[in-house]
Parts: sequence; structure tokens; C-alpha cells
Amino acid sequence: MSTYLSALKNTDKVKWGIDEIVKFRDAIPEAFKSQTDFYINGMILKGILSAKSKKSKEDPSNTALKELTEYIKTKLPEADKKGF
Amino acid sequence: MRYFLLFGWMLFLGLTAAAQPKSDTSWKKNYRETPARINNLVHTKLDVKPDFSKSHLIGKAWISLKPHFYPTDSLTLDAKGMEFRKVAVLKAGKVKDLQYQYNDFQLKIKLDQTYKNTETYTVYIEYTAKPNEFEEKYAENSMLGIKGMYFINPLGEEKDKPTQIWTQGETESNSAWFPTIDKTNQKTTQELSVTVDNKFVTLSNGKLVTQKKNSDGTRTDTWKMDLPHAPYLFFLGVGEYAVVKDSWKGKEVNYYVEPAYAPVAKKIFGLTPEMMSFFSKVTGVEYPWPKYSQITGRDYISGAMENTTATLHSDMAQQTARQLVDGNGWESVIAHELFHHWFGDYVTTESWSNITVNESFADYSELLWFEYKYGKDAGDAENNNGMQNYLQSNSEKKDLVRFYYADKEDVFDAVSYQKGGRILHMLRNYVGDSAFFKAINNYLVTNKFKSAEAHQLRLAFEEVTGRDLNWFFNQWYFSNGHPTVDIDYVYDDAAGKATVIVKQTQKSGKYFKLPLAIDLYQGASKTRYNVWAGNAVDSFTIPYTKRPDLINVDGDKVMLWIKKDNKNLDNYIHQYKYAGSYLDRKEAIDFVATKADDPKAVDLIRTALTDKYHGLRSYAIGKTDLKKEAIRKAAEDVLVNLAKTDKNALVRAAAIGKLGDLQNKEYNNLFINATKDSSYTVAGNALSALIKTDATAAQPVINALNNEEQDGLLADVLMNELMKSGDETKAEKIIGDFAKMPLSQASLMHLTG
Repeated sequence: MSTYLSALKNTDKVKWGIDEIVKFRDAIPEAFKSQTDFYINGMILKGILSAKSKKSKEDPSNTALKELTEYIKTKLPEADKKGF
Repeated sequence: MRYFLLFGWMLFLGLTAAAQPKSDTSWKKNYRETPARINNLVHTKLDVKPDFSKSHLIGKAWISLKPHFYPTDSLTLDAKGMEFRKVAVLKAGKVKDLQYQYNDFQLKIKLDQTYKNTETYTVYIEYTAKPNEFEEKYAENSMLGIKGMYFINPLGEEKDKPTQIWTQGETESNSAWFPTIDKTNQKTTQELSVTVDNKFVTLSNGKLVTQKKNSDGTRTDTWKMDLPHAPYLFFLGVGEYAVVKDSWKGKEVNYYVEPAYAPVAKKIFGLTPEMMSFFSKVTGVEYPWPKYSQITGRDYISGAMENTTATLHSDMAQQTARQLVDGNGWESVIAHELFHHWFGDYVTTESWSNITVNESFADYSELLWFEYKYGKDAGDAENNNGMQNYLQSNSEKKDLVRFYYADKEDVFDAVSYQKGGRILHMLRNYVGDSAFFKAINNYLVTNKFKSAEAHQLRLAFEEVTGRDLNWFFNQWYFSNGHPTVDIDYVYDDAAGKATVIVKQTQKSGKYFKLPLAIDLYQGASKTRYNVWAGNAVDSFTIPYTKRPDLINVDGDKVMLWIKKDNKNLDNYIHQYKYAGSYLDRKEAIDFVATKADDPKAVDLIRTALTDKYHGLRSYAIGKTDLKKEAIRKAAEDVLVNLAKTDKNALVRAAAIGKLGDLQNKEYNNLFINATKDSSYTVAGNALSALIKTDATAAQPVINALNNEEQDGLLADVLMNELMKSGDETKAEKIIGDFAKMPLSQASLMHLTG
């Protein structure tokens, strides 16, 4: 999913994919969250955000892409938003 | 119970589970004593009707009990998230209301009189169970669900998902759908009537005694279990299942599967009657229960559960005929849950601290079954897998019998299961097969229909063997860790003696008492020396006339330890050829794979590629480094032959995968042909190899395969290609498929693709 969403251009579809990952993350039992959240936020969501941010920098006029990076950031906890 | 999903995540991520925040260590001071028995369950009669519109269960319960020893005028029942309409005692055919207090978890009843332990009394309760509301309110820190009863797609709103009900009692969750004393040291006979729409079939414990059609289109099924069992083993399943019938010695053996899987149900579960015969023979106790059914459940929270006579399996058990070409991935689970019908259901752990007396045996049954059905190599491979699972679980500080834990769910781990299974294997080796099986028979017969703890197991073994086994149980059951050893060999040809030095290097500072078999080999001839290690350093001197070809410590390869064995290449080559057990050969393969510049090592790698056991053929393929020219020259023709002709699909798949590393277009046709193999693993590896070797040639093959039925590794490879392509038109499938996946290890792994 992370590879695919990183490559996918249609921002609505990427948002859908992000929403599904977030649903998955939030459904994990509390006892595991402290460990799985690190992986899902830190590697999966931030990985996609990184790919989209890079493309957004290459194409600054693409507002949809910029909006998408902002959207992904809203799905991350504060600590994971740093660096973007 | 077999834990897969959550435990699998943690293994995948290399993490350990913790049901409690790390900062809260108060549990370390909380000794978990065995629950006191004030009243004992005698008989439980339930009359229930599921309300699918609310996911509630409307129930009536008649619970017969007796004081354990001391007279009592009160009764505490576990009853979670319920609403009560009546709490009463039955007296001379009349219903007499009782006073009670309720706190969402327990129902504290003031009885109408003081009862002695010679008197049986029956309380009558009308209730509504609200499992979802209960879970929503209290489940925040639970690793697994606590609601006991699961309504799956109750309103039929989810397309392609059947409507089902299944229950999960272990650990103490059945009290979320009926009031009981939800402790492992209670046993009760059972009668359950359930009223459902006529389109559904039902399954519960014991035998189906009546089915009555009602005028409103519903049907009432009554199930009866005349033998006592623990409340956590009660089960109710409801759904539109196909019931595939089998039998064992005149007893019903049924497989409840979704209708699409009816044609393959016997391919999945059909070894069950043979397993029942085998386990009856090895335990000396004929399968004691009146029937045996197995049922699958959608969105099941674990792997499988040994509800007495009504085992519940995750729907992962349901495999298509083509998936089964690679072997039945569920066979070990089927054995595991069945063996629980002796260890767990017939004799039950008296507390969660002692869960290993259930789970170590169920784990060990997988080895016993594979050894019997597929030979010693298969059994040894299972033992080694279990050992590696434990050793990689970072659990060396956990006692096998654990009286301190944060949450009772925590004891379902690689220590209680895999380490416990390996300890049984060592015990079997130490006392001998005949004594081992006689002792487990003694344990079962002595404690039948009762609960037991590890000490009862020790006593059963001591009675049979005549030996004091406190040292073994204190070391392995009531303590933790495992030895880490360095083994060195010093030869003195002049004196004609070899010294074997065994150093225990574990950091705990605790030294294990180890009975060791040391085998000395001259050619094919073996002489065994039995010794004891138990110190930081132990030295054993063995005489010889000619320097031995091999000294093999732990000759039967049963020790639960991490070892550094300082043998040389010639020793290992001799070990492969003459010591001959699965682990002897595997260790040799591991060693020679690191000596690829030596022609003797290369020769052994070539030999190992055609090992008699398919698991070691696959393993040797994995260890074959084709970047090394000498190995490539020696192995390539063997690999081609294996890829084309090996009878085992997984060996063919491994060989094809390895040939793919060469990226040699001469193999394109081999790969293309193999993408049509009936095995998904062969086809998937072949496609992967082709993509790596010749992406252009792979494209038409990918296009063709995308139009065919896909599953297993083949589907993964195709999906991976789709993902890499970023093809916008496939978003519905890729994201949609992910959204439909259950919360599991598979979905977590899917995220990384």
C-alpha cells in the first residue's frame, strides 16, 4: 500500500488509501498501539508524506498535491509532523 | 487456543506484547493465587435466543451448584455486561426471588438459606447479555476481545460476509453471555437450547438431542453435554454453514464450513479421525467426548479454540483445493486443538498461571503428529521451529509456571507454548518413550474431569519412573531462562583421550543441570557416553584408540539451549552423513555454507540439495550462494532438476526462486512454464524470477495471470507489480482489498508493499 500510494497521482484515491490506513491504525488494540503506531506513523504514513512532499516541491503550482500533504499531516500525531 | 493474529504482529515487528503500560509494574507484586472454590458448578442449563438487531442475547439460566466444603449462604457468579429480569432459587418446583447486587462484572447473590456441601441447589436467572456494550465500556486495555459472544455482520449489511455468531470463552469471557463461575477450576455438565431463524445451523458442546420447528419460522436446537467441562470451553456457533459429515468409531465428526468450501472440507479437516486414533493411542485414553465438530468463524480474534467437542477455527482454515497443493497450512492447528481435548478439556489447568499444562501439550501434539504421520525428520523440524520461536521471543526472564503477570492474557506466549513443548521433549528424552507416555496417561487418568497444575504432572511422572523429578520441574517449570553453551574439544592422540569442555555462559549466573548424551563416532560406528553438566565449566574425558571422526554432544539433539559448537569442517561433514538426525544435518548445512571456498564443503552443499527430507532440501537451497562460482558450478544442474521434477511443490518453488538469482534468460521458458504450476508458491516464485530476469518477457505473462484466479504467493507477486506500477485504474482493487482485510498480521504486512 505504501509503495502504491506513493506512486499514485490521483489525490482523492490517495486520500482514500490514507483513510484506510488510519482506520487500520486506530483499530489496533490499545495494548499494542504504543508499538505499532511507531511503525504505521513513522514508516508508512511518513513514507508516503515524504514521497508526496518531494513531488510537491518539484511542482509547487500543484495545489492538489500541496493539499494532500497537508491532509496526510493531519493524520499524524504532533511528534511525527516534524521535519515536514 | 492458538494465537495468531496479534502475536504474529509482534513477531513481524520484532516486538514483545505488553498488555499494560510499561510504567505500571504494580503487577510484579501481585501474586496470582488459584481462585478459591466456595461453590462448585454442577450443571448449567441455558435457554437462549440471539437478537441480531441489537447484538444481544436473551437468556434464561438454571445453574445447579454445591458448596465446595464449608457451608455458605451466598453465591458470586461472573456475569459481564448483563441486565437481569429475575434472580431466584428453585425450591420444591417454585421460583423464589433472591436479593442480589451487581457491578457489571459479578452478580453477588444472597441465598435463601445456608447450604451444606451435601446439598445441591439451583438458581434461576433471566437475563439479557449485551456483549458489544460491555466491550465498548471496558475493553480498552485488553489484548483480545472480552465480550465472549461475537455477532458477525448481524444485520447483513456487509456484502460478501456471512451472518454468524461465534463465542470465545478463554480466558474468562464466556461469562459475558451466560452467568457462571468463570474459572478454570470449575466443571459443569451442560444443556443449551438456542432459538434461531430456520435458515441457520447451530453448534454447541455435546450432542444435538432435539430440533423443534417453531410456528414463527424459528427453530430451537437443544445440545446436551453429559460430561463435565470448564465454563471457558462452552461454545455457541450460529450461521449458514455446510455440515460435512465424517466419523470416528461410531462417533460423529463434523466439519462446519462456509458452503463454498464444502467440496474441500475433507481435504482440510479429513485427517481428524486418524488423529483421534493416534492421540487415543499415545495417551492411552480413548477420545472421551461424545462427538467432535470443527467450525470456522469469520473475523475470529485468534487462530483456533478447543471448545469441548466444538472447536472454532479462524476462517484462515478454509483453503481452496489449489492452495492445498502446497500442503495443508492448518494441519498443525487441527492437531493442536484436538489434543486439547485431553490436555485442557479432560484435565484442565487449575489457573492461568499453570496454562502450560494445557498449552505445552497441545504444542507438543504437533510434533507427535508430524513424527507419526510424516516421519522423524518432520517431527524434529517441528521441534526446532518451536525452539527458535521461543529463543527469538526475548522471554528468558519469564517462568514457565508464572504466578505474577500483568494480565491473564499475557501467559499465552512462546514460553507457555513453544518453550513448554520443548521441555516436554527433553523430559521424554530423559525418561524414555515408554515412561513418558505411561506418565501422561497417569496424569490424565488421575485428574480426569478435574483441574490440575504442574505439580500433578510431576507426581504422575515420579510415580511412573520412580525418580525424584523436583530438580527438573524446579529448573524448567518454576524458573526461567535457558542455557547458553560453548562446546570445545581437545584431542590428545598420545594419551588416547578426548576432552569435551562444556561452558555455560548465560548471564543469569544460574547453571542448568543437563543430562547430556555424548556420541563418539569412528566411521559409522557410534559409542554413547551419558554424562551430567551442571557447572560453569564441565569437562568430560573420553578414551579412544584412533582419533574420532566426530564427537557429537547432545546426540539426540533435544536440548533447549543456544550453543556455539566448535567443530571443524570434517566433523560437520561426518555429522551430516553419519549422525543423521534432522538437526545434525541442518547444523552441517549451516556450517558448510560458510566454507564455500573448500571443495569438501561445496560437495556437501550439492549433496544436501538432494537431502531425503524436503524441508532440508528447501533449506539447503536457501543456503546455496550462487554468487560463488564454485557453488554455482556444483549446484546449478541440481537446482534445475529440482525446479523441474521435485515431488514437493515448496522445493520446486525454492529452486526456481534460487535460479532467478542468476538472472539468466536461458531459464525464461522454465520460469514461464512454472507460472502455470498448480502450486501458487511455485507460480509466484516463477513469476518473480521471470520479472527479475527479463521484465519484458514477464509483462505478457503478468497480463495473462491477472485475468486468472489468483491467491497465495502468486497473488502477492501480482499485487506487488500492480503497486509498483502506480496504475490509477487499479486503485479500487488495491485499496478496496486492503480495506476488506481483517485486522491481522497479513494486513500489517500488506501495508509495507
